[in-house]
Order: sequence, then C-alpha cells, then structure tokens
Amino acid sequence: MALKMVKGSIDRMFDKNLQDLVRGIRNHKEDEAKYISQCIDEIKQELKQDNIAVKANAVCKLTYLQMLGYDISWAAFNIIEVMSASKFTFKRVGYLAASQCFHEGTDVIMLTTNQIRKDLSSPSQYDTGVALTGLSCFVTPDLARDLANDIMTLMSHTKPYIRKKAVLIMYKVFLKYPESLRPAFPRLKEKLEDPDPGVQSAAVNVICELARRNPKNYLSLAPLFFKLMTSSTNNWVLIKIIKLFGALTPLEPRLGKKLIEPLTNLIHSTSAMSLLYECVNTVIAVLISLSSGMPNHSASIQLCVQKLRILIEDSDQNLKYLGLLAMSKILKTHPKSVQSHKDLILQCLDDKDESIRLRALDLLYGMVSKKNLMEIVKKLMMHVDKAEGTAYRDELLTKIIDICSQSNYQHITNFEWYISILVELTRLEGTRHGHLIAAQMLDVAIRVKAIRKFAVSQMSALLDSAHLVASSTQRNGICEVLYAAAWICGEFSEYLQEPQQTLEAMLRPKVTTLPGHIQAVYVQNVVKLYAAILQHKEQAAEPEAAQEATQLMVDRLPQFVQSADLEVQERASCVLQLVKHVQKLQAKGVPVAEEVSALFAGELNPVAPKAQKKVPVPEGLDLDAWINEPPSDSESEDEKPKAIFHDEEPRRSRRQQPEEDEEELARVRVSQTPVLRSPHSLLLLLQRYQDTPGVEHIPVVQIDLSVPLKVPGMPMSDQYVKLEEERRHRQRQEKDKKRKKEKKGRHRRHSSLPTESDEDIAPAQRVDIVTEEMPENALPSDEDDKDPNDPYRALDIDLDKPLADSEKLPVQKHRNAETSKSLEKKDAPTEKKSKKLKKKEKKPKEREGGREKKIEREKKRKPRHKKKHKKEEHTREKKAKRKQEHQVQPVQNGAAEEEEEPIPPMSSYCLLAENSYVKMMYDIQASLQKDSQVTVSIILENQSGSFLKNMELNVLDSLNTKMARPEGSSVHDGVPVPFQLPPGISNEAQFVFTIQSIIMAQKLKGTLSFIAKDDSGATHEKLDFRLHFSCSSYLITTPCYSDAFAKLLESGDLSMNSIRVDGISMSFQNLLAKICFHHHFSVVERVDSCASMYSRSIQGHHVCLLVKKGESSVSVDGKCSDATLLSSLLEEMKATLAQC
Amino acid sequence: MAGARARACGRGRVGKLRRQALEARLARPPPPWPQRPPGRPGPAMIKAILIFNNHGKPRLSKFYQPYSEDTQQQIIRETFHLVSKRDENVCNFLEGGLLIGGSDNKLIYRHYATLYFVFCVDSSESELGILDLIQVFVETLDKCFENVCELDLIFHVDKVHNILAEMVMGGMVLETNMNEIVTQIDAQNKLEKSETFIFQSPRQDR
Repeated sequence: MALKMVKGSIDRMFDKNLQDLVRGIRNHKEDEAKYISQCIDEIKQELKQDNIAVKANAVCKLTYLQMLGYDISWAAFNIIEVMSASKFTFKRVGYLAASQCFHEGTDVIMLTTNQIRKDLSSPSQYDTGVALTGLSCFVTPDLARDLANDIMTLMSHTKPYIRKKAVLIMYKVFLKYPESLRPAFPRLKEKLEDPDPGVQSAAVNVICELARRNPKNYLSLAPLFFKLMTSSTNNWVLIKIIKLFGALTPLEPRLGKKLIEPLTNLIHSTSAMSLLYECVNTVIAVLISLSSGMPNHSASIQLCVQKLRILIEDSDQNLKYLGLLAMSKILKTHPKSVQSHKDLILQCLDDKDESIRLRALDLLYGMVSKKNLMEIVKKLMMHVDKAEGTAYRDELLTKIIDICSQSNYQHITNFEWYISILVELTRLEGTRHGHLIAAQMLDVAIRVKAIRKFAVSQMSALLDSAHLVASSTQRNGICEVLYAAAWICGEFSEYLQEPQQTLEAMLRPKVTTLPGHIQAVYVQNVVKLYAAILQHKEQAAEPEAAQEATQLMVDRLPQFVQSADLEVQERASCVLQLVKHVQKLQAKGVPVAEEVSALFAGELNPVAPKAQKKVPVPEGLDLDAWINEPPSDSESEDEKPKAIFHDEEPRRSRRQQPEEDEEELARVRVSQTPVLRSPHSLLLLLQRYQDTPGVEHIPVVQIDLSVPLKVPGMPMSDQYVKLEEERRHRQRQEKDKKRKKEKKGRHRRHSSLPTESDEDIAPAQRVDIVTEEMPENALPSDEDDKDPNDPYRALDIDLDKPLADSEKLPVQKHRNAETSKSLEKKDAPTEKKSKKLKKKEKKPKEREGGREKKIEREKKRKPRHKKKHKKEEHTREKKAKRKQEHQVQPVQNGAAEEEEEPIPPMSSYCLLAENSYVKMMYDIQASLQKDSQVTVSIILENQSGSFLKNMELNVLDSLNTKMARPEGSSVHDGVPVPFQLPPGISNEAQFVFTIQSIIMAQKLKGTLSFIAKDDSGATHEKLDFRLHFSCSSYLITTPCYSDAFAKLLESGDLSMNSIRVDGISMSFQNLLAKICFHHHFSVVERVDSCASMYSRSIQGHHVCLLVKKGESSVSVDGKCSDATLLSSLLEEMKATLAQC
Repeated sequence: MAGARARACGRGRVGKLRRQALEARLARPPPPWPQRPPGRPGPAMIKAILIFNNHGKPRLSKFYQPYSEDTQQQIIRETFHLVSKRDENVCNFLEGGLLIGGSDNKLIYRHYATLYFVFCVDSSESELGILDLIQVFVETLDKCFENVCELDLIFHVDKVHNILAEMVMGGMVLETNMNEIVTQIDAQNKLEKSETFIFQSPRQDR
C-alpha cells in the first residue's frame, strides 16, 4: 500500500500539472491546437491510472481546456470518480469540473445521486459546501427530486456556511422539482429571520426571486418583509426587498400607500447610490400602481424626478444611464413630469456613450407630442447623418418610425412631412430596415386616403431615381422600399401625373437585378398601371398612345419571363399573354380598357393583424378533420406509377367536363359562393370590395390646399417644418379670434391622450385614418399569448394552504435485500403506500434514467397502482384527489355523492421511543408476496445538537417473530442503520421481520445504540423501545365486489364476533376513513349509516365487517376465517374507535 | 521506468474494463445540449461571469446556464467585441448581447488594467449592486493572491473558481462580505494543506 503511494507520487513528477499545461500552451503559440491535442492524449493516459491524485490532476487540466472551448464531456465518468474521492482537495476539483461541463443531457449524471447525498451529509462542512456549489450548477429534475429532502434538512444545519448555501440552492430545486416548494416553504420562511445575516440574505434572495415570477402567492409575506425593510441595515438585503415590493405593489395598492413613506425616508437618508436608485425605482412602481386618482402623491413623483435629474446630470456615466432608465418608467404614467426635462434628455442624445444615447432614445418615444414631433425627428435625422456604425443608425431609424407611428400616428399632423421623412430615410446606406420603411409607406398610403396623391408622386420619383436600383445586391436592405413604391404606384395609379414615365421606369432592364419578390410586385403593378393608361388614353381617344403602351409591354415583359424566380416568371408569362391578346383586340379597334381595368376593380382595405385569429370557428366545423380521406401510404405508392403510365386518362376526363350537366354545375357554383363570401373564409382577407357601398362609408377628405403641395423634386422634410410653423402661427391667430365665440371640438382620432398643447394644434389635413378591418362577429378575446413552457408557471403554487400529507418530500429509504427481491413480483395493492403512490401519480411524466434505487421503487409501487386503476371506476380518481387518505377504499355506490367534510390528516407512523437525542417513529408494512414477512420502517430524527453515528438496532427475537439479520451474524447481533444523522436531520430505515403466526398481536423489546458526537466529545448512548406488531398490520387492503362479498358471507365457513363502542361524535364518513386507514379495510358497500367492509391478511384470511352507526354509538360485526384473529382485530378496532 | 510500471498497472482487469467504458463513451457523440429558445429567461439571475484580457483571451468563464463549448466561445468572443470597443469613460452597462438571452439581460463590466470582468445579469439584479460585487471580487482576489495580476489568473484559474464559488452560487449572489469570503477560502486552503502531506509532489508551486 505504502509502496503504491510512493510510486504514485513518483509518477506524478513526470505528469504535467495545470501550471505546466498553461506554460506549455503559452510556449506553443504557433501550434497551439497540436500541442493541446497532445496534452489531451496525455490526460487520457493519466485518467486510466488508478491513482486518484493523478486523475484529479488530469481533470483539473481538462477544466482549463474546457474554458478554451474543448469538449470534455467524454471524461464525465472520470470526473465523477474524482468527485467521489475522499480527500477534499480532489473532491473540489471534481465538483468544479462537473459544474463546468455537466448539464441535463449528461447521461452519467444519474450516477452521482448517492455520491452527492453522501457528501451532503458529510461531517466536514466544506465537503457539504462544495457538493452544494457543484449541484447548484448541474441540478436536474431527477437529482432535485431525490435530494430535495436532504437539502431541506441542511437548511437547519448548525453551520451558517451550510445553511446559506442550502437555502440558496433550494431555488434551483424548486425550479426543477416544483412539488418541493410547498413542503420546503415554511422552513425557507423561517430563514428570513435567521440570526446569521448571510443566511437571511440568501433566504431573501430566494423568496424575492420566487415572488418576482409569481407575486400573488407571496403577498402574505409582505408584513414580514416590511419589518425586515425597516430593521435591516444590509444594503443587499434592502435592495432585494425593495425590488420585491416593486413586484408586489401592483397586486395590493394598500401596500403601496404604506410603502411610500419609509421609502421616501430612505431616499432622503441613504448615501448608497445603489439603494437610492432602487428606492426610486420602487416608488415609481408604487406610484404607477396607485396612479388612478391619487393626486396627493405628486410630491413623491416630483421627488423621484428630481433625484433622477441629479443622477442624469452626474458626471458618472453609470448614474446617468440608470437615471434615464428609471425615467422611462415614470414616463409611462406621468409623462408630463418627464416632459419638463426634455432639454436634459435631448442633451443625452449627443452623449458619446452609446448606451446612454439608446436610453435617451427610449425616453423620446414617450415625450413627443404634436407640437414637438417635427422638431425631435429633425434632430434625430441629424443624428442619423452623423452616426457612425450601422447598428446605432438602424436603431435611430427604427426609433424614428416608432415615434411617428405610435398609437395610430397620433402625433403626426402632416402626413406629407412624414412621407418625405420616409423617403429621406431611403437614402441610408446599408440599413437592415428597408422593410420597415416599406411597411410604413404602405400603411400610410393605404390608411390615410388624403395622402395618396402625394404618396404616389413621391413613390414614382423613387421608382424613377436610379440610386435604389443601382447596385441593389450590395444593399439589398433598402431596395425593399421599391416593393412599397411599386405597389403604391400601381394600386393608386389614378393619381399618377405621368403614368407612362413610371411605366417605363418599372420596365427598365435594371429592374431584373432586384430580388424576386420585388420583381413579382413590379410585374403585377405594371399591369395595373397599364390598365390605367389604357383607360386614360381610350377616354382621350388616343388609340395610338394606347397601342404604344401595349407595344412597350410586349417588348419589355420577356425580360421577366426569363427570370429565374418562379413567381416572377409565372406572373410575367400570364401578363404577357394577356397583353398580347389585348394587342390583337386593339389592332381590330375594339375598346379594351374597361375590361382590363375590371381586373383590378374595387378597393383594398387594411386588415387588422389579429383579424384572422379572431374569426370564430363556425359550429360544426372541425378544422382538423380530413376533407378527403387521407391517402394511405401504400395507395399513393401504387398510384403514382399508374398516373405516369395512364397519362391519357385524366386528360380525357377533363375534356369531358364541359359536357356535364349545366344544372349540376350551376348548383355547385351556388353552393360554393356563400362559402367564399362568408366571413369565415380566409378569402375574405384578400377580398376586393366589389360593392361600392362598402367604400362609401369611409369619407374621402379633400386635402387642404392652403399648404402648397408642389415641392420640386425630392422635398426636404425641413421645408415642412417651416411651413408647419407658419401654419400654426396662422391658426393661432385665427383661434384667438374665435375663442370667445366657441370652443373647438376635438378632431377625430382613435386613441389619444391629448394634452392641452396637443389640442391647440389642428392637423394640416383633416386626415381620416381608415380603421382596420375585423371579421364580423370577431371574438372579443384578447388572451395574451403566454408561453406554456415558461418554467416559472410550475412554481405558481399557493403557499398559504396547509401542507397535505401527500406533499411531503420523498424520503429516500433503505431497503433490505429480501424486500427488494420480493418486490419484483407484483400483486394486489397495499394501503400503507398510498401516500407515496399519490406522489407518483402527481408526477407529470415518468422520467427515464435508470438509477437502480429508483427502478426498485418504481417496481415496488407502480404496477400495483396501475392494477388498481384498472379495477376501479374513474369516478374514484376524483374522489381520491379530494381526499387523499381515502383513495384506496373502493366506494362504489352510495358513498360518493354526499359527505364532504374534511378528513383530519392521518399518519400511519406512531411513536416508538424518544429521548433527548433521538426520536423514533415506526410503521409496519405487509405485502401479499410474503406471507410470513413484514417490513418495519423507522424514522429516526436527531433531536440533539450532536452528530449521531454508528447506530445499530437490535431486538430480542421471540419464537414467533424474528428480525432478519445479515447473513453470518448471530441472533444477538444488531442490524446497523445505514446512515448517520447530523443534528436536526431525520431519515428512514427499514427492517424486515419474519412472522410465523399472525393471529395474535405481538410485542418485541429492542434497543437502539449509537454514538453521539459533539464538540466536547463522543458518548455511547442507548434507547430502549417496544415494537408493537398489531394484527391490523398483517392486513392488506384488498378491494372486493359486493357479489363476491355476499358469496363469502353465505359460504358459512366464517366465525363471527362483534363489538360496540359508545360515545362517538365523529361523522360516519370519517369513521370509515379511519378504519380504512388504520386497519387496512376497504368499503364494499355503504347504505346510509351502515357499511360493509373487507380485508385480507397476508396469510389469506378473509375478514368481513358490518359497521353500523347509531346516535352516538357504533357497532361492528365481524366475520373471519380465524376466530382468534377476528377477536384480536376487533379489540384493536375498539381502541381506535374509542378515540373518535 | 516509473512510467512503464504505471502502464503495467493500467493493464490490470479494472483498468481494462474502465478503458472499454471510456472508449465506448468516446465512440458515442457527445450528449446534446439543452436548447434554449432565444429570449426565454433561464433560471439563473447571473447568467455568466467572464474574465478576459485586452485581447479577448479568456481567463475565466463561468456559465450558470448550459451552453455548448462552441456557444460559450462565441459568447466570449461577442462579449469581448462589445466591451472592448467602448471608451474608458463611458458607463459600465451594456445592452444587446444577442447570444446570451434576450432583452431582459445586461452586461455589467469593469475594466482593470489588462483584464475585463464581465457579469451578464437579468433585471432582478441591481446594476450598481453588481458593480460593487465585481469590486469585491477583485479585492478578494487581491487579498488571496497578494497583489493580483493577470499571471495569477492565468496559472491559477482553479483558485479563482474557488473564490468565485464563495461569492456566487448557481447564478445567485451568495456572499458579499469580503472578510467572510477570505475566511472561508483560508479555511479551505488549510484543509487542503493538511491533506497534501501524503501525496504532494515537490513541484506544486504557489
């Protein structure tokens, strides 16, 4: 052994350690990759060695390589080996490596469960600490479930160092295993008042984070936090609490009112900027939640804004940034108080720091009004010109569009100005947001009728100007606007001054360099233009000009027909054929304009973005149903080759179609039309409004010609600013005259919060914004699209409900070899497991991953569970949910409907023995597979401050009942308890007993011996107990149908006995529940206050009961295949009932 | 010669089995990393802590959300790119790290001499608080390494990890009191030393 050790350290002299590796990498700058791959080979060799020190060194190096981007998941198994080293030094290396590279997909992670559990209960606080730290990085749902109880007990560890880590990691456990939240919460709450500030801070941290996601469940903690806030001096804790209050106040305005005062006090008194800032933030949140009708808080707002102004004016860029950030929150509800600081914010737009500029931009969004929009946008346009770097410029561009388009173009008084701004923006090089500009152009042109003429003139200029088309491939972002331009020119071609010129511009050869979807729009709109020209020329009786246009089309369209883009090609060939046909007709002198323009008759209206979603599904329409029978795979395979060989047939049938009955066709047509026209049809969304009445209700407004429209060439938006000022001046003068006579009504706008200054300004054109179309009988739903996969939804748990038994965290149990073997056979259900069954049932999905212990447990419980479900009715499931303790009794008729008083919680564990060190609770479980064996589960709880170890349990065997001991040990040896108990911890151990006869109850004397170790030393301690084996514990809940029950009673092989208990106040329902739970019976039938019950012993005795309830008494008549067993059972039952 | 004996050791039965397991593992592709849709908040409040130098060489990377090694490197590169082009006297907050989760997140960084310390956090953390935390971190490093410089971080990244583990756990702030952190680190070092006398190789420096 020693030799091996020496050899290990000699070997190590030749290994590289981390420092050597780093040095080596630095010395091999040229061939770093090659050197590292060499090192990885060495590491692989080292990992194969037995010496743990060598392995740890190798893993340490791997962790470094992981940082450099090398995948080290192949060494996951070795990492686990190092984690399980006994020395802290190595353990730490292992856990560090695991925390860097393990994740939920790592398959070996399931091997760590036991190792981590061992480390968590290690006597060294640093072993525990390092395990907790590591686990916090790679906890999986499985680990969380299996270790939740261990971690929870650590929350009460004596060392604050462990407590704070355990508290903190609980948050991760909750996320992965939400069922643990309720059982752990009371203890977590306790930790808010932990004497150690670190633990307290951790608890605040966890609860704040939980509350941030689901605030309503934590409102009840508000008083506690309020106390903490007024008493704590730790800024970290204060910040967290204050942030938490920010999340809680929207739910409880009364809380907000209470908070204002202490918070303003803090704002005045604190010197810590971080705290001041968070206070201001929360005051803002409070004020927002109170914003309805609380005028007396304007002082608080003023205070906040003042403080923020100080922050913004500070030379520290960080404070400036945060000030702006908080300002934007005030802006939402109190825009006026912020607007007065416009100067400051505009100043920040010029800051050299991009973060600050972006924040200032955000604020601008809320600060614009009709009055200052033009001015602000002008400033932004200047920034656009100056900006270096496309990212910031793009940001500016989107902001300009956001600001202008916000709340339905609320602040725009002059849409000509806006169109010219958009046109100016198209000059930006290399922007990604061409499509944004295009969308705005389309939106404005469609929705603002009055602007169409102007828009069309601008768009035709755009189409004409070469700069966009030229080198479109390099800056394909901006050429998107041509999409809008082409569409607007085509759709509203009646407004075009020089349609021919535009037509030519759109048919230029260069156009073919544009992206396919833009060309497609070009082709389509060329036809619209062409139709308009035809119409115009024919009306003007200039057939030659019309023919010229046709000729131009015929000449130029082939360039699109050759396009590689299918869409373009298809549209172009269609159009070309159409035009050629028109050409023929024109040659004959037939007027065609009417018919061609009929192609595009009617008007397109904008459709609300959510319109499609809001179309209600008509009754009886199943959208998932197949319209035609889905072709089966085999069929389609058969038919395809057929189609190739019998090509002729379908064609023939097509030719036959016209011969079909005309009436038939007409009928089909009639039946189809309503479908197409119905509001439910998708087609509606693209439908042209053929019938004019639909359009007439939208008033067309004349443009106020007091504003000169003709702006030569590309108008600079600045001109509009100037014009606008003049116009306003004029208006003001007029208004002053009018004011005495009448008050001007508000102009029509959809949603606006007009400020006083806004009202004064009348828009240049009376603009009607066409509202967006919604389908008839649209659903009024506004269900927000919450992400169903949000991990925090699972943590939305009511924490104030009392904790049910079923919610206890699963305690990992020790299992003796015999029991686990026996469990592989499966059979009828046992009752005692019901609580844990419940747990399993709740789990949404069975998780895979074969941890041995887990499989065992699954085997033990699941099959029975399933079987039960098969046997029993579905209604029972509901019942079981309501009443957890009841779930195993098969109430089939009569009982299910009435009742409904809460069943008091019951536990099958009863006290075994207790002293100042340890408390023992026990429960006896029998199973049908072993007719002469029971398992005793003992929960051991360490009640002292000492560490309990070397626990050993021994009993004095009787002739009838013997404890199963490990092979090779004598009857006098104790059985060791397979764990140690740190202070405050409890754990459960199981022991198997063999029994020969079960007809009598038994008592066994026993002793628990253990070593209690504390700071002052270790003492050997003992605790005596008497283990009571009741007859009821040999019974197994077995469902029985009433007919089988009747047959059993009729058979007459059963002996009979009865008891009567007086003075019972409990309801019959609860009474039955108690018998079911404690004595393992199931209800066969229940009529009024009379019930028949059944159970079976592990050795196959049938036990039948008839329970009758009188005024205040209960009588139980029993029949059983063994008279002694029956009388023992009835005695036990009497004792139970006497307590009721 | 010692090396040869060690290899002989590896040829034992256990060694062979392990090697087989290892090789089987190597043959399989690495397990898939969990996919996180962009913008979805992860569980941690501090998403990542990065230290890199003025040239973008990583000196420490700690991710509290799972990312594949490639993505981690990409994040480091992107973060370096964002941070390094900023002037000295601008604010320490930065938005728009695209890779490391959506708009809720911020980069908070400090630049010390040749090193950038970057924390990527979500909105639940106080910005100024994290700046203080970075300061505490650096001061703690200074205490533990005695006049810390980049070389210390280069050669003792494991120790830096250990110090960090006492301050931040699973993306949550664990301890902000420097004295407490230093006490725990010292105690652990002492424990480590008490273990080392058996196996320490003479070359374990510093």
